[in-house]
Amino acid sequence: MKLFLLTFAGFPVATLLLGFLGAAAVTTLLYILRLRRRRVGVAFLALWERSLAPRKASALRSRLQRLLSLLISLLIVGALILALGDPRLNDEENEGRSIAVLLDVSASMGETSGEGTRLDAAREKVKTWLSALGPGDEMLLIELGARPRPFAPATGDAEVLREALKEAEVLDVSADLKAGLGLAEDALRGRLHPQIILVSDGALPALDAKSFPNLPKFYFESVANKQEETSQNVGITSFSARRYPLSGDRFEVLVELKNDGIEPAEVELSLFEATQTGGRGAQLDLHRVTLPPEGSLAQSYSNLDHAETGLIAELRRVDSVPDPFSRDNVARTLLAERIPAKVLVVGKPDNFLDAALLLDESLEVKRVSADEYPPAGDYDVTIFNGVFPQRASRTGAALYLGIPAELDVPSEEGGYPLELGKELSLFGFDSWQKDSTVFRLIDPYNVQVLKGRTLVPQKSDVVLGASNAGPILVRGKRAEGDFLALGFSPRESDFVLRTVWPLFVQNVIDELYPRGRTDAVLGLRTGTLWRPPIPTSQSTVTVRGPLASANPSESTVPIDQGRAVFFGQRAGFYEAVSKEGVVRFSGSILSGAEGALPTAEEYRWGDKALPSAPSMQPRANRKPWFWLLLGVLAVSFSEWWLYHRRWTV
Amino acid sequence: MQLIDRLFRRKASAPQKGAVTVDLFDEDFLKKLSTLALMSRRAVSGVRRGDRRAKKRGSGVEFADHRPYVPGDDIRFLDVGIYQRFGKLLLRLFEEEEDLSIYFLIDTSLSMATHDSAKLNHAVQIAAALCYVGLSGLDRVSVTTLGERVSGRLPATRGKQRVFRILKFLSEIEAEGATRLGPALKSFVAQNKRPGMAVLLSDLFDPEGFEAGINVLRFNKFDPVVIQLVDERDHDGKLTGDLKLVDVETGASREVSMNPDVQKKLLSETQERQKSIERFCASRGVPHFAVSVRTPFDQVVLSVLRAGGLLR
Repeated sequence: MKLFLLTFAGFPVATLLLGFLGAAAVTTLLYILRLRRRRVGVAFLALWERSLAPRKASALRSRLQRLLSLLISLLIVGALILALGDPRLNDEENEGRSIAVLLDVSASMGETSGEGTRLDAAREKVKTWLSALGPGDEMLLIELGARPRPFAPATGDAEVLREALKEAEVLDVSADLKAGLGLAEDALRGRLHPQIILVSDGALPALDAKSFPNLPKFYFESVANKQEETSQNVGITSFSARRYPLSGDRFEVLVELKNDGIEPAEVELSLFEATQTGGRGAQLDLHRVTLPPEGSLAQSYSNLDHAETGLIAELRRVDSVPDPFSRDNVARTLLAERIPAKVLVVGKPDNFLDAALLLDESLEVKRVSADEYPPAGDYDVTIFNGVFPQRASRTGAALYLGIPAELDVPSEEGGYPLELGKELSLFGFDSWQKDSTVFRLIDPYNVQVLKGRTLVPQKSDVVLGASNAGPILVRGKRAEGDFLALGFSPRESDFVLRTVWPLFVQNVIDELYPRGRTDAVLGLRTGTLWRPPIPTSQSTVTVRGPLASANPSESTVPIDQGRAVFFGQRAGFYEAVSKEGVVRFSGSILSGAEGALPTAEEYRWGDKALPSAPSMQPRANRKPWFWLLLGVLAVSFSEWWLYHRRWTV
Repeated sequence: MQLIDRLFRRKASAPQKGAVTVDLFDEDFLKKLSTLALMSRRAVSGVRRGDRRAKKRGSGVEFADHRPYVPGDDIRFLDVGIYQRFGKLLLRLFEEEEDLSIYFLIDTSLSMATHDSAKLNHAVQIAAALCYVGLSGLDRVSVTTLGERVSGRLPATRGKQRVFRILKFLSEIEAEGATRLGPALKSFVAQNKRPGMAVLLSDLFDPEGFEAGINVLRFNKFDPVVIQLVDERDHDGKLTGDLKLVDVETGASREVSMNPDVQKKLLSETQERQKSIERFCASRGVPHFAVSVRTPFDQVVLSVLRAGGLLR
């Protein structure tokens, strides 16, 4: 509230006025009481009379002194009450301003700048401004990451802002300056003396100033320690690993490296096993690679082993060129878990089928004749190879190879699940669902079949493959469980002679009993919406991470269609904890965008560079309450001194 | 409420009465009196007999004057030498020795009762001791209390056995009223025609001047001895703050704010006044003893006695 030349940042004027009136009344009362002199009986007053000044002059002087002393007391009380109001001078420097500070927290702000990171330097810069906030000033601190957000509501309370500033941390994302400016512009709309200050290392994408025609005063404060023309960054832009389908303990990785420099870059790529806590474990592989200038290089490394769950790739320049952005030199990914499957093969011995099943070490295969079906125990998948007994649900999903001669067992009672169509001869797959797991890495077009029959699917069934005459590969679900039926016997085709046959068998097993055995688990990219699959019946799940980081966070995220949905901004391994168990996933920068941006000591806006914020220079402490208190002390001391010396009452 | 009472309560402006608070019949006090009486003999042993003579002609041994013989006179006192030389009958007169009258004049104004009657107590103790010594020397002792006027009187008495009567009188003294030595002592001399030693025990805080009182004694052929009771607290500067000084006798008041200047002036004024008292007494041959209330009374009595002139 303003009053004459002062603005009160503390108590309102009305409160101060009431307080002063009350205090003045009490002071006056005490003063009156104080004037009631102590009465002392003396034996011979004449003796004192001779020692004192003439009575008349003394009385007049005394009255004046009393009045002066009362005024001094009231002055002290008034000054104290005024100090409580935290008054500020209404000069131009103290005019209320609305300041939005865009604090860049993109990954490049994590690079060192002097003793600390660039974010530390930015934080210190903002702190000095907090000290310079005037009484009417308000500041909105905005975290400028991939999704800009305010740290705290706009306030003039420096302590609140200081606390909010502590939350600032470097995120493994690129800053979305456009969104940040939009947020700042919206927040400042209609406010007094709006201004936006961007605190950054300048590694930001160029923006078209015309996109923000009504932008308030816009300043730029750089925390870059040098001006770069171009970036010499190298980094990992892609990293994934997959287990070999037929040898689950071995795996291969695919990594893509990028070089932003105009010269070739010598780099060393190390692969590490990730520990259970997300830290770096044993080194698995090391390669020296030359990256082409301003280009990328995809490399795959095969036959790797001795990693149980996760992998960490680290890149390091070995030439003399410094790497300006190191956070994209690390990438993480997970290996699919190896889950064994119990497979029951019913029918006569079949070498082709046995060979295909032998290739997958994670399969536990049991063979029984049709008469022995169903054997004791539970199974995940049952392959009916030319036999079609009544199916038991405990033997899991079913793969029917071949067709029955006659449909003697109704499907409702667990027999062959489909009706048979017309007979076929010399046919093949003319159409198939290419995105189906069954046809992963398989092109069945060349498969030649001697004879077979079309299958008549029910409404709920899905046709995965068909000849021109009709469906020959159908997937469906019956009361006993899922099934997949092939409208011919593989032995009556060249399918079993083809190299894709074992893959087809494996794929079918994966389709019927999905274990993710050989899925290549791509590392998630920070700055994007993460949707890791979480097999849970819950609607939310607790996500912890990044593991092994100094300040892991824990949050509850929603589950949408079996996937946790949240915006990943920090690289590392994560855990999603549900009542069904713990699922791990990982995120890495995997983007060349942030590293490609050179740091800059200025930021161009339109056709000129943005100025630095002149009004946010640190100011001397001009808060009048300090001087008021000092004045009170001085007057009190003087009053005491004069009182002691009896110059006043 | 207590606080409000404390804030608003008016202190009594001055005591209306004061009393002797010391026990004169205390065994220790009486022992001290006896001791003083013995010591006084030694103290005055060098003084010749007849130093204090009565102004009455009589059968003493010291020649005083001649007068013409009239029939009936004792012819033993005829001056034979004069008759032989001049043929005239003249009778030799001698100064008659008689008991010395000592009047103790005790100031009982309210100024003597300040500070828990310290001065009054001290005056009474000194008077008691001197009375005892006087009675021991077979002097006639009388005690009179003074304020604005003569407020009490113990007729002259003699004999050691009368000491308790004196002590009783002294212990019942009450202080009241103002000090007016002049009028009070005029009353005293009017009531006591027989001259003698008049020992004035007072603080001499007389607004009209102590000199008038002493002069009354002198002019009426009394031998005044002044024992001035001094209580340093009456003029010490230990009082601090804003004060309203009230005269305990007159009720007059004066506001004062104590500070070093005032303290200094007060001390200076006190010293000056003391010097003027001493000058006055010395110039008129009046023995003067300034006695602090802090000095034990027996010590005071001895010093007074040693100074001489008071007792034989």
